[in-house]
Amino acid sequence: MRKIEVIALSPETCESAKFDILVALTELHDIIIEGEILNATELLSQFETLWRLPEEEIRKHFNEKELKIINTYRKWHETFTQRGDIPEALKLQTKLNEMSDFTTLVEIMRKSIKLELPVRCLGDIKYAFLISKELEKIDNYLRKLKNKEIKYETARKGINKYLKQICKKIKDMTEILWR
Amino acid sequence: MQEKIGVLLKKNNEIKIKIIRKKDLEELAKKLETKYEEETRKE
Repeated sequence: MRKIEVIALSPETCESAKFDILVALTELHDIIIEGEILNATELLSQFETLWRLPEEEIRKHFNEKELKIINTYRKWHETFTQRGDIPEALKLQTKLNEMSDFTTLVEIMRKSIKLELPVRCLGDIKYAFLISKELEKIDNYLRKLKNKEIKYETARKGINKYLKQICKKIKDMTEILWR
Repeated sequence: MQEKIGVLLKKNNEIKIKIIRKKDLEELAKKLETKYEEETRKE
């Protein structure tokens, strides 16, 4: 029997698509991109093993601020997945989003990559062939930023424009194929 | 043989699976790109 590759398209995948791309690109280009496009639980959930490490091990690599975020995420994960206490999980989710800023979250992500913790999404952008044009544009912005040919703000705006376009494309494709 | 791909679609908590030729899916993506480019030009 022939194996058929399955990809998932849904409006809900948009955020994780953007995340996949950001992780892959920051890893590739060694550049931190600021953004207002992610929420903390979504980003941290990519690191399946991070919150399972013993606290003394985490303390060796992460600073106080990062530790607080990781520990709050750990609590959120236990409350949400193990206890199924949704109201409490939502409270923790709000707290986590308030205490997290994008740069710190990306720093946690980069340290986790350095620790070689398994990352769910790296190298697994199954729908990359559908968004190759947008990826190429984003890549160009990052290359120019790295070579100091453009300003940070120009790159950020350009990258966000194409990330939004990726979301629109996923939503439109879902809509068309659904019929 | 044309390469086919399974697309798992999820909308409003409903799930559908469509088997589609990879080439057709790529063409759909290209069509949308052209549409977005035209929309940007008009703006």
